[in-house]
Amino acid sequence: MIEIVTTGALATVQDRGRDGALKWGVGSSGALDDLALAAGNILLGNDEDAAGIEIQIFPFQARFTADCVFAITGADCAATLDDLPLPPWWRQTAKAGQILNLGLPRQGAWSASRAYLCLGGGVDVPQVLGSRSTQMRGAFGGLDGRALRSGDRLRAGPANNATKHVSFGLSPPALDLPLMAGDLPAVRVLPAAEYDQYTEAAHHALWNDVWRVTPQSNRYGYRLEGTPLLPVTPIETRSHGIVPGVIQVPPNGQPIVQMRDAQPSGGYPKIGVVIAADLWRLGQAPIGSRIRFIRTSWDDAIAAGEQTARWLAEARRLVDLHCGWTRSH
Amino acid sequence: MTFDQLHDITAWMADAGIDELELSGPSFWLRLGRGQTQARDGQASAQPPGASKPPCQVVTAPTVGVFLHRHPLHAAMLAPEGARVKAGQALGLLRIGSLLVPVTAPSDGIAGAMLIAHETVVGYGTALVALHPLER
Amino acid sequence: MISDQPRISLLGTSALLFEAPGATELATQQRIWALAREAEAWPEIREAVPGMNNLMLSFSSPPRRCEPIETRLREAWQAAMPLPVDGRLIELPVVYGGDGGPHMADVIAHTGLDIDQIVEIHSAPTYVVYALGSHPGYCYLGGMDQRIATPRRKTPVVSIPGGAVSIGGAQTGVSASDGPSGWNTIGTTAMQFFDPARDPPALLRPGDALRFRIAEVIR
Repeated sequence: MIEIVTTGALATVQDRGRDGALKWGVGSSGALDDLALAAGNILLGNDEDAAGIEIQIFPFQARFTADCVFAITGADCAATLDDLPLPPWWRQTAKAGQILNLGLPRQGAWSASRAYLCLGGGVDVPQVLGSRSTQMRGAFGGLDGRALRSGDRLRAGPANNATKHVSFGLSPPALDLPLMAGDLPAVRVLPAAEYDQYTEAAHHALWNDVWRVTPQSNRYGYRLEGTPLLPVTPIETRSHGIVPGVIQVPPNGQPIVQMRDAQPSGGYPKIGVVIAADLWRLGQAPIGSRIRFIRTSWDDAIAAGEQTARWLAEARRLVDLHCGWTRSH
Repeated sequence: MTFDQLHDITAWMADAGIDELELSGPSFWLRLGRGQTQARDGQASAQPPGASKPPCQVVTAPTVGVFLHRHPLHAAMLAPEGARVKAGQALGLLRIGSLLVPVTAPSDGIAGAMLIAHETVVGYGTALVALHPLER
Repeated sequence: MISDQPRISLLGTSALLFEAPGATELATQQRIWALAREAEAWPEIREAVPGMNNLMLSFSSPPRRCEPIETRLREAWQAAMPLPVDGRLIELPVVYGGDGGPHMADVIAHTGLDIDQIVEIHSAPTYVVYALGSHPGYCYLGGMDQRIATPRRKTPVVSIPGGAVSIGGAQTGVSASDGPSGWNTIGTTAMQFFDPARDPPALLRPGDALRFRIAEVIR
């Protein structure tokens, strides 16, 4: 269905993640901006476990080798289909031979760094251990367990309604569900096991300082830079299971937020955890940008997750109404 | 389309100095002329020879919604007046909740004036934006 | 921090972590396995993942309140009897030292032992697989002789190959695939620990045991 014409590195096939394989040492993988991937699938009437392509190096070009309905979400990349400009967060039908081009992410009302290309019916790669996400460390899942290269061809599954030549878009959740602290994007954090073993100065810095996203940030982890977070006395922990969002603090005091390709266990002390409902915000934070942490409570964290779920459900309802589709479930 | 809207459009045509306008929607097609009291069968007398420009089109709302001149992420208009646009390109958007439905150019052309203000609630068939033909 | 009460903490809204009190030992780990077997049947739990004398429970969806599940977990811990897993014994031939053991010199320098002593001490015990983690198929092993304990490297190695046998602090392990590591690699083995096409995909599971057989020592 599509052939990759040019890609920098690190474009991978991702779905919403691989659940239930932690006990074999297999991390979750999955889209860093799970909300953008979900919205792309909603625009196309896809199942919610459909896979798309996560793109983080631009420009990116793909040629459609067959007629195909597709959606682009995530970072606003001045997308064009041949010479037709496409708005961000958009669904469009392409004819065989047309070329989709994604340029450098535009920095504006929302600065983001990862784009998602979804295909009607989803990217058709085999499910491995229950997911189509690329598991880089294990070299399985996605397309042959690796990042995409020029010349790679990907098929789409059977589209929900491939004949509908209808274009439309969604307003990005960054605008509908904004979260800022002062003038900076923010994510909500729950304190973790070793929080109380850090100094008052560390607590103050965590909640009040600005954290810079360093160039050593990637799908494995976001290495942040700011006031060093130091424990009252050195902390020893035994290896234990961890999840994306855990904020580990190595001895140098510079926190690392575990992301979707993080290993499923670790031994560094944990000062907090970015709540699941906000991980997409961090996943879109560009290298060099600055963020803040907001302390939250269990109830507010649950409410944040419900708010996101409501946004997705409402988007699906509106898209269904607009398309007049009926689904069997 | 209502007579009130026709009235608005003719007023706008006067402001914009447009003599002739073609409107089409999903269920109608309309051609408006201005400043000519005579019936159109006397057309040669009303226009100087050689000046028969193809008419300007008005693109109407494909659904109800809040009309947007620009994408919510962008400061710039989707199709500023005078911009060359491709058939199928979005000239504006209709927002319904989080859904954004395009108001698309029916053919290649030059974007004309917006007929309705940014962020106005509009009904189905409302005239939204003018589209001028490409110069031949 | 060692106390006599287990500690339960949140991992955001995705999971919670149960940490057993006391020093790391097999009897405690056997109770962790028993607790994992029970908790993974609870409807709100997606996965029960043992660590080193601890247990992570991931939520299928976050519960509205955590207290009931914490109470239930504490009660289940009190009742948990050590679960002796009837594991298999796997023997791994290891080539110690040489190009496959680039950090042997650092372990020698830190411990003050010579290579033959290190190899003998390392290959003597039967190691129990306490838990899987880190990367697909990787096993956390218990039972290393503390005479060869060597601190993690100050600068992690960008990539060590799959099959690398290494020491990190008080633990030893075998990498299941190529990847970064902060541990000291002292040898190499050819075993394939993980194959996603296999069911289960990981060669070893908690309760299995591992012996390192000396295939060769490159001095």
